This record gives sequence, C-alpha cells and structure tokens, in this order.
Amino acid sequence: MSVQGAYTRDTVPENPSLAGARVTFWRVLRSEWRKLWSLRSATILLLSGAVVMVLFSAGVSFAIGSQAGEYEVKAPWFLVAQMGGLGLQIGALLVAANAVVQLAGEYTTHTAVSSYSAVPRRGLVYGAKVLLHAVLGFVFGTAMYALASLVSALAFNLTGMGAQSDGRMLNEALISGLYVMVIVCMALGLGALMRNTTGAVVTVAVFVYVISNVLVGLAFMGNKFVGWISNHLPTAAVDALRPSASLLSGATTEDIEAAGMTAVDRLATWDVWLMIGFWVIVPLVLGYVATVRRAVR
Amino acid sequence: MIEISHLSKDYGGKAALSDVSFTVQPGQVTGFLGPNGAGKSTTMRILMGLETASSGTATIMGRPLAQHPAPLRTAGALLDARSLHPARKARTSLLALADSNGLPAQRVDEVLELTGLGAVADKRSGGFSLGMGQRLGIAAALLGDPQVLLFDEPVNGLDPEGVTWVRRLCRDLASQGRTVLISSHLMSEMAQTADRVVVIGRGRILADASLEEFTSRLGENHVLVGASDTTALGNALHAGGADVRRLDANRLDVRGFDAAHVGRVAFETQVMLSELTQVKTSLEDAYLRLTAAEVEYRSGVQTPQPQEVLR
Repeated sequence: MSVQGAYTRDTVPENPSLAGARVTFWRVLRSEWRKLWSLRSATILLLSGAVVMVLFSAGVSFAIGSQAGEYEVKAPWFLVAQMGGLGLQIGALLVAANAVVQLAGEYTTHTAVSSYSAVPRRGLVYGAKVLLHAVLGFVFGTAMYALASLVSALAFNLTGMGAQSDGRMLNEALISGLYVMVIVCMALGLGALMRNTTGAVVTVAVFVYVISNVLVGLAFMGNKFVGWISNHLPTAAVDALRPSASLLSGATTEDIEAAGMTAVDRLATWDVWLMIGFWVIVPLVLGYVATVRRAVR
Repeated sequence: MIEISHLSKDYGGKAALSDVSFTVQPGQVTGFLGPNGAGKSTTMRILMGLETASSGTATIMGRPLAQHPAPLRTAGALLDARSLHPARKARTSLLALADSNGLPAQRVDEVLELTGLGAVADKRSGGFSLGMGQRLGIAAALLGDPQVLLFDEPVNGLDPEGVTWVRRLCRDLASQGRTVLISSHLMSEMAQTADRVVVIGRGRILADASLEEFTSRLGENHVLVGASDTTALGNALHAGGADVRRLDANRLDVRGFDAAHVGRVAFETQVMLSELTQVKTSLEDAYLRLTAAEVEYRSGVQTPQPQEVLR
C-alpha cells in the first residue's frame, strides 16, 4: 500500500538553499551546454572543422586564381560559393562526430547512469542534446561557410583574379548551416540507436560520403532509378536549395562547362523539404524510442 | 521510503526478479544482501528508472522517481562508480548534474568537501583512484540532499578509514530520518551498519527482518571448549544431547548447549577447562546458511570443515 505524503520533508532536516530545485527543459539544456564545453574533444573537433573548411577554400581558390588570373576574368559569385562549400562535408562530419561523442559517449563511459538518474524523464535529456547540437551545427555551418567564402574571395583577389559578390551568398551560407544540421541530426539519431560513438560516426560517414558518391557516379552512367535515389540523399537534397545550383541548372551548357561543372537534375522544392524532413526526423525518432525504452547501463 | 511491490523482471525468458516485494523504512539502514546475480542491482536500477520492470511497481516516496519534480532531491544513488565522465573535472561533472535539477553551485562544493575531495575537485576524474571514484559517486548521490539513498557496494575500493567513513555516513543519514538502502558483500561491515536486512536469491526474497532476528533465527550458536580430557567431556555432552565435534586434541565445538550448560557438564564430569567461549552466529554465517542453495555462480574452492564428529 502506498503512503504518499506520509513521509514528508518534515522528517528530514530542511535545506532551504535547495528549495527551488526542479527539473525543467531549460535547466537540462544548460546542463548539456556545460557538458559540451567541458570536454576537450568539442573544441578540437569544432576547431578542426573550421580549419579544414577555411584551408580547403583558400587552397583551391588560390590554385584556380593563380591559373586564371592571367586571363583577367573575375571569379563569378557562384564559383566563390562553390569554393566556400568545398570543405563543408568534412566540417559537417566533424561537427556530427562531436555531437555523437556527447550523446553516445555517455553510454560508452557509463555517464548515462548518472545523467538519467538525475533526469529519469530521458526524453528531456535527448531533446536537449538534439536542440543544442542541431543549433550548434547550423551556426557552425553558416559561420564557417561564410568565413570560407570570404577567404576564397580574398584568395582570388590576391591572385589578381578578383571575385564577384552577390546577396545570394547569404542564402548559400544559411543552406550550408542547414546541411550541417541535417548531418548532425542523422548522427545523433544513429548514436542513440547504436550507443557507440565510432559506429555512429563511421555509419554516417559511409552513408553520406561513400554511398552518396557511388550512387552519383552510377547515376551519371544513365541509371535513372539510381539517379532518383542519389538526388534524394541528404547532400543532394540540400544542395538543390542552393541559389548557385539553380543558377547552374538554368545556365546554358556552355556556361556550365566553361565553369568546369556538370548540370544536375533539380528536385522540386516540396520534394527537397520532404527529404530534409525525412533524413532529420526518422533517425531522431528512432533514436528517441531507443533512448526512452532501452535500459541504461 | 521505498516500496517494492510484486516486482518482476525478465531478460529474454530468464527471470532476474520474481514477484519481489519489500519496504524500506526511513530512519534506519537497510542492508540488501544476496549472491552475485541475485537481483540486487536490477532492483536498484529499476528504482532509479534505468530499467523497466516486466511487472509490479517500485516507488520512492510513494511514486516512481520520474514523477518527482526534482529527482536528485528525492533520491541519490551510487550504482556505478564509473558513472561520471573520466575526461571531465570532478567539479564540472557535479555542476552539470546540479544544473539539470536547478541546484545551486555552492552545493557542489559542499558535497565535495563532505566527501574529502575538495582538494582534487578540479582534476579530471579519470585520474582518480578507485576509492576516490567511489567518494565522487557518493558526492553525486548526496548532491540534492535527498530523502532516500541507494548505495550499491559503496565500500568497494575504500581503505579502512574510508569504510568507517561510509558506515558513519550511512548511520548519520539514517538518524536524520532518511531512507538508506545499501547492498554489499562485506558482511562484517554490514553487521555494523545495517539495522535491517533484506536477502534476495535468484530473484526472490529469502528474508526481510531486523538484523537481530535474522541472525538469531538462522543462527546456530555454538560453544568452543578447551579441556584436559576432551574424550570424557565430549562423551558426557553427547550423552546429554549435544552435537560435539573435535577441533583438535584439546578443543571441542559444541552445538545445542550454551556455555553455562557446557560448564556445568564439565564440573559434573570433573574435567578441567582451559577455554569456554560462547560463539554467536555472525551475519555472514546466517547469510551463507540461508543462501547456500541460491548461489548461481559458485567458485570451486571448498572451505575446510571441522575434521571429526563425535557421536
């Protein structure tokens, strides 16, 4: 028989300094924020992602600019946009790896026992981690893309080639942030399912970077079904939103070939957002179910 | 107060817990005893919401822990000494827990000082010794100044001073009206710490009684006797109905009579005694007697028995 209320705080010395204690989502989020920056791995991974993106952009821009500078041609804005995104996939993977370390790493280090003992409503912890890392991914992707594009423009200018600017670069930056956020969400869901940092990171890397590229290659060999699938993978789906992509698809074949790129079929906007929603929501929902239903060890 | 009611837990067809029911009252230390794999940790993990029961209920202060607004204020647990991140500083790990429940930062410093870790608070816990890790786990359990405390093997890795400290801490917490549940294999320590014992074996409750009642009901008190003529004394005791075993040439182990009775028989038999010791059953003996058939994972080493039985 339960005797709720019979054994109250009256039987134990009161501790007034703890009177306002209560679990709320924002307090859990604050806890996750503290956990995030308390590990060196966070700084290392995020800094590495930033360096990769900037160096890739700078290096390739400088090389192109050095070659083309003698022709007195200004780098079009969509070329600068492409340069800014050169290291984006690697940067996204590093940010996603950080998110997985923070989530799946709790299971491998048994920290999950203390985390979920303090907050038995596990959905709150999972939700806080997802929100924190999704926003972090978006901000990182946006900021680092902007920085990499700026560095690219500077590199073009240094080589004498010069670079065009365009207001659509802001859209490119935001879409880059969206891309990183999508990869982070996929990785978090996988991390919660697998409860293994290495497994989740490798799975995301293989799926997004190996399988995607293989399918794209097969699509160019004329297989329409494979082409449809490759268009609906996360990278292609997000890329379809880019102003530079729409510009390329609307350009003439000569323009496209002069820029050294290949035209791709574009997804309809509704299809793009449906795919983005799919790649974000499905892994996260599966991860949520695994988090709340499976035992914590 | 902890209430376990008809709790069962199956893992792929194997029953870890079968219809377990017991109550842990506040104001006393309750020892939770059982062989390895008996279900002690499973029970504690279900109480803390880390596992889901197959059936039955496990409540703390009348409801599941997840339904309490500030779980750390309700229950603190040491279930796994490794449950704080090794790459994180001790203080930071506790601050993160405090943040989640809205506890003030100063409370972290209080519990670190209480557990003797103030000097190493800003060191990464991965470099802690086993004993320091245990203390840090206890600090985390005390963070919310909870009403209920669950300690799973709290003295693992602690030196004698640490073991004494845990015993005093548990008794102090119980004296304040808190509910304290400890599982341990260190019977000698439990005998000094616990007021009440709950014994579990193969997922079933075997005993739920005060320490005194448990040892006296399951005990077999006996008398150690040193005598000049053990044969004559042994025969006289056996004739009176005692179970007599010879320990060596000059000593007997007598069961069924108390020391006063043995002394009287020795006087009547005109046998001089060099030793007369009443031995009360220890908690360990009572526990081993109760769980002899419930050990799932037994070692191959047999303990030596007295060599000869006088009949």
